[in-house]
Amino acid sequence: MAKVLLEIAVLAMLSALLADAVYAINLGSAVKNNFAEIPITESAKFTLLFWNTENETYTMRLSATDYPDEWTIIIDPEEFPLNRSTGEEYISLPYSEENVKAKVVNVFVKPDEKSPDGRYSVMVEADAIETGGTQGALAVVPIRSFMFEIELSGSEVIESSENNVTSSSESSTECVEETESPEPGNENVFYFVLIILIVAFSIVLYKKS
Amino acid sequence: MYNLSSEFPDTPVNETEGDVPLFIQESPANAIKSCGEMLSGDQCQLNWTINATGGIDTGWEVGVLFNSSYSDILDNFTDNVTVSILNCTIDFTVQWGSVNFGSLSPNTGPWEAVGNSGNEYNITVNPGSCNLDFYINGTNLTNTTLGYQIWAENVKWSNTSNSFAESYNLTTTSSVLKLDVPKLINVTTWYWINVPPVYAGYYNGTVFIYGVENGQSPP
Repeated sequence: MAKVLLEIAVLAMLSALLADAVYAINLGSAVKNNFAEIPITESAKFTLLFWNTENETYTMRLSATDYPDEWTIIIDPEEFPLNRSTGEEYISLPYSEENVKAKVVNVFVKPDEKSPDGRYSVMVEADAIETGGTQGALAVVPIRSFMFEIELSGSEVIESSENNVTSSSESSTECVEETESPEPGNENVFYFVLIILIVAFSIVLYKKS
Repeated sequence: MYNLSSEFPDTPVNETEGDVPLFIQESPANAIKSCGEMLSGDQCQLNWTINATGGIDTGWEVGVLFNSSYSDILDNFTDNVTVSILNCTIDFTVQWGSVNFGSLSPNTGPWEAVGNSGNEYNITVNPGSCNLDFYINGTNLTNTTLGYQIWAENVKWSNTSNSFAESYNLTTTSSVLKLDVPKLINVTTWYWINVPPVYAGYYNGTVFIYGVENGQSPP
């Protein structure tokens, strides 16, 4: 009896909806630039376009999946809903009579100060995630990978930038020290209060003696 | 106007078909158009159809200058737009949202997905797209309430036919689904599952379909 019940429970709980979700997920994308040559003091900016010509809205989520240690990657925006009416720019597609709206995403890459000259690559992944998936099913997520290449060049620039960084960090340390030391105005108040206390203490001593 | 020789639009768009980098694709092709005589409160909309023939990865600033024969009406420039000329895009459509296998008993299989018989699991490379390489991977199917999993390898896929004999294991690392797929080509896929002896419940997973430009690094 227990075995039969278990079998029934298993059948019931493993059940999924018989009908597949009938919709399509369009992931359109273009890279405006995928190479940048920069000195180490600067950041590289790459621009991507995304569009979705289907009726369903999905969530586009971007992340940096592979990049040199200590480099900073900023993706703006990292996540956004994407549908036919999303976007600031337009793209002309051969299969669409009207220009299609395209969402602009900027990828900023800041190299580590200690990175030597050379060519580096940064990988960014964009996932089209459909919200409200079916229970008991395999959701399908189209993904696009982007590879950006950055050429770090100009060792002189790098050396001077390292000096700059050092001096800027030194100056920031100085700033902290300055902040921690009393400000001139506060210093005067401190001495004024001290003098008052000394005078008061002297008066008390004088009266007691 | 477009920026032929400076940072901002300074030159009328070419009127000769085939001119580089932009030409007006109309008949007759006129860079200068007139609204005619306008009275206060009148509106006028002018359209140009422009074909971009410039080099790949070039960009052009385009704007419109409105002026009048009346000297007391000042010139009016529209905001400029940047026309970027791209070689191709990465544009594909996955023609389904999820793969369902129906109601299944544990410790049985293989079971084909509901859409296998109708060849429903299609990936289309859209016009304008570069040739694409497709890769596939997936997650384990998880029941978050029970904390149990069905390993991804229990799911099989095929890119050739609705035949389990020609299927491959779905893995958590990427496998080649199809390479060098040109535009307008459909890639049909089929799915199966072997249900291991697991506790009852809904088990959800994800299949990832990667589209990358042909020849670029796989994920």
